[in-house]
Amino acid sequence: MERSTARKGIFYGWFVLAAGFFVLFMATGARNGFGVFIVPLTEEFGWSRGALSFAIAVGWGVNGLSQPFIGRLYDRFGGRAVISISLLILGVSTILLNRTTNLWFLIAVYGLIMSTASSGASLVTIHAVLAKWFYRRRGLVISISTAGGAAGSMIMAPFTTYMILWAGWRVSWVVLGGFILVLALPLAFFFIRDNPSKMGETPDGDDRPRDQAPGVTYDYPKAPLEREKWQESFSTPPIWQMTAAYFICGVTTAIISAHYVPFAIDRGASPEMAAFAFGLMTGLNVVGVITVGILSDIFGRKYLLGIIYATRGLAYAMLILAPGMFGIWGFAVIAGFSWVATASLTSTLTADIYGLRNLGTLGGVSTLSHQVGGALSVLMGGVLYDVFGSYDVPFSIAGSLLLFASIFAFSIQEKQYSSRYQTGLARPASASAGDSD
Amino acid sequence: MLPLLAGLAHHSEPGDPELMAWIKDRIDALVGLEAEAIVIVLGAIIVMIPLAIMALYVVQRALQRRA
Repeated sequence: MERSTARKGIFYGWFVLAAGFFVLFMATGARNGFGVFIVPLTEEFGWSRGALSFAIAVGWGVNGLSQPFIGRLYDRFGGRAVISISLLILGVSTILLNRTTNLWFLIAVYGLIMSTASSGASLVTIHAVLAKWFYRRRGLVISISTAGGAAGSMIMAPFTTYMILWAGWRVSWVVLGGFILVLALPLAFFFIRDNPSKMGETPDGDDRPRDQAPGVTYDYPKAPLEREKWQESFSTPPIWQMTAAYFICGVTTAIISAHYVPFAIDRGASPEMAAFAFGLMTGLNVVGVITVGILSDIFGRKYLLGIIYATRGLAYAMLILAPGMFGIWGFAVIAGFSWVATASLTSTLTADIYGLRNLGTLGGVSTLSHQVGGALSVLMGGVLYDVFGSYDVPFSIAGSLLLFASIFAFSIQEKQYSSRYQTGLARPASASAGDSD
Repeated sequence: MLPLLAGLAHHSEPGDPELMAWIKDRIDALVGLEAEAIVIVLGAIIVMIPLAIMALYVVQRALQRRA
């Protein structure tokens, strides 16, 4: 498909971004909205919340474990195929949940099928596609797509809540799945493309050099640590530094998500105030992630990543040391800005350093480490609370780990390894990695 | 709150039911509409996003062809 006049209009990459934003909006929103179904499910079937939390735990584990494998499929077959098929399975499985009559069905459909499919329509795959379309604005664009997930949660959760009130939980599953199939899937299939040069485009929509004819496919310049096999990337330091820091990111976000509200209530906050503080924190995601995206394209990635981890560490210190409500609100505001900004920065930095060839797999491995860290920290928080009778110890451990995450990020030799700083690689002509459509 | 039901909102984990209930109470207090009205408004917002993207693309293609 040649679009020789494309540069006169809107750069096609922006449409890929818009599609990616909406895919994350729907996929994240639908999964996040599962929390709304818990009360009606427990009321109708008499299931305990513990039983439902088991289904969710299975989903969490499967989602994390499947990320590297789905990432591998992405690297092999391209984003359009993987994301579209994932959305198809996600939509159908969401609709199937309306047939729920027993817990094992819920575990199989939500915990296994839906959670695996959502790995294919996730930050990992969308970020990897966008990295092919944008180079100079990579940080901003990946951050905007990340904000799509946060926006989806904000819109889809209340939508689902009122949908259940209006039409019941069975119809609500059908509507959610229908939205995925009718809205997100066609958008992804129609707009997501893996290869700008096949569209007659160049990354960022830059003008083609004068001596280059339209329609010619150019190799994307190799990133400094781009390897033929993804395993070889793990013989270099940056992937370990980023993955270790991302593990700590998982630890420090999951423990807060699980234990922040009870902690605030222990401190004397009402449940409503605690929920509001947590809601404020998640709402600030959008502002934080986009701001960081803009800054990262100007100032580089690693310093911002390090600063974000350090800032989150300060928020933890405030939470533990500041008295009463001051700590609760201070943490909500400061940590809110850093909540998902780490995801976009880690993806962007991985693309800059390791290129596009194995980006899906490497992103999947990092996300797996994030999810493992999250699962361990939730368990740690509960166990240590039972032992010490307060959250001070588990929160202190989590907060202290952020110092290491910050050091890991600061110690990445970005100028040595990132393609942004390599002479001759600053403005790649086009992308041919993931040449699948 | 059950730990694994927490609203991580980080990698699309399920939202916390208490937070969802609180959000509903706040919306009720703010707008005071029936559930179906809110569903229609929010549903329209959701549907409008992909339609707007498609419309923009179609308009742009039409303008390019004309140019």
